[in-house]
Amino acid sequence: MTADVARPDAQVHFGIFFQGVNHTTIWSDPSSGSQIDFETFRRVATTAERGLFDAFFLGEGLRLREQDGRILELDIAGRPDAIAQLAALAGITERIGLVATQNTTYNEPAVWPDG
Amino acid sequence: MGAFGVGIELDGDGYHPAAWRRSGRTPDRLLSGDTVRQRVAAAENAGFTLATFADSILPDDAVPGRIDAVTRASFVAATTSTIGLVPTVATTYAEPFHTASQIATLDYSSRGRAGWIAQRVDDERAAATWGRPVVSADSDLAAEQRDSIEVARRLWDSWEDDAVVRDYASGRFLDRDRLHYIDFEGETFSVKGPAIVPRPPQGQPVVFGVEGAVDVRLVTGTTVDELVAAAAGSDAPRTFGEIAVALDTPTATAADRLADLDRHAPARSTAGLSFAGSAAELVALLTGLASHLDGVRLRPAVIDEDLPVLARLVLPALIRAGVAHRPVPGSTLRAELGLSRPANRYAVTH
Repeated sequence: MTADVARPDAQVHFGIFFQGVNHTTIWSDPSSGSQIDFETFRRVATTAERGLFDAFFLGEGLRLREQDGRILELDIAGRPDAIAQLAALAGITERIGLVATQNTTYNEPAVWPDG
Repeated sequence: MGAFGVGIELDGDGYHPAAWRRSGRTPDRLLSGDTVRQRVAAAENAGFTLATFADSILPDDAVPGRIDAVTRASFVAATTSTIGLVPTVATTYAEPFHTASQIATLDYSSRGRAGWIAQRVDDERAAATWGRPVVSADSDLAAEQRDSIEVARRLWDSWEDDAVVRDYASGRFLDRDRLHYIDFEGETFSVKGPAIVPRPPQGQPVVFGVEGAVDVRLVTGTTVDELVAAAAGSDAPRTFGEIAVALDTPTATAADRLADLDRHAPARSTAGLSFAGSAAELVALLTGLASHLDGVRLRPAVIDEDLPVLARLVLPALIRAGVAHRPVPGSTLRAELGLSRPANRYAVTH
């Protein structure tokens, strides 16, 4: 570790991760929005852009979580396809980076869009 | 019955392989988002029912490069409000789970205006590009088409509309009894489900295609009589005819424009009906076809030349005459085509 090296001009890049599902996302607050309506994604991405974030990260999952072989009912589930959703967000943003999680296991690298 | 639907294909610069020579864009703008956005906006303002986006994993002579169709359609989803957005996604080689997820996502981002042209890929080079064994037998291609559509339809229904319960008392976000494994077992693939995307706004986005369990059958014919006969033989809920169009513009006749294009590259032989002439002649043709078809998909020779004429002279005349109908904000593509929102195949009375 060289924690003492001076970097007086250092800048930190901030990204925001929109997970949107699972136990880390709160739904029990009455003010929590839809996990799937496009308006939720529009609001977060455009707010992040306005707030000068560098990147908006969108997660991916290919299955619903289960417990003891049954679908878990307690957490938020249901999310968009990350690439298609980022393409829609690209149409209404200008500067923020758009980063999709895409599994490398069950997908075709040749057809990942670069739009 | 819905009103007569009018669609337009917006891939590349037009159907003619030399279309780029007469295109209004600068050479570096073929793949830009602005080009897609401007053309779709022009089609929406004109009153088109839907725009389609062709696709291929292979380059062809007319379109040397393209952004994939789902991405193009999604890119304009949030900046349009009435036009249906219908990308082509292959049923050969492509994973139907991903296809179903992407079309459902487009249905959310467009608020119920998504469609899907389900189309086989009969080209061995595509298999090499995908890195997959070649599928070339007619029966195998048809089976992939059939199974891909079936899987997508089951996945779209795998969440009942009220699966999200947000039951504060019991702490449950979901009701698992309203989520369904689709357990599809085909000859070449299986899909368990459920979908990762909740049931899309339309329930079932509109599936287009020349074969399989589609909502809108796309039919062709080299003459009007053949096109009408093909439509009569369709067993799908709706039937659209394919027409390649070249129109007279204020500065050149359609014939002169096509002759100029053909000097640079011969037009590809098209299986469908080809129209070349004035706006009034096209209005007359479409008005006559409206008695036999539920709609048409127009493929312009040069988008930047033909779309302005369609927007200024053809669509307004069809709408004024009551043949076509301008889609309204807040409607869905299904509703514009006169298709009801289907019941969920898995739903039972709770």
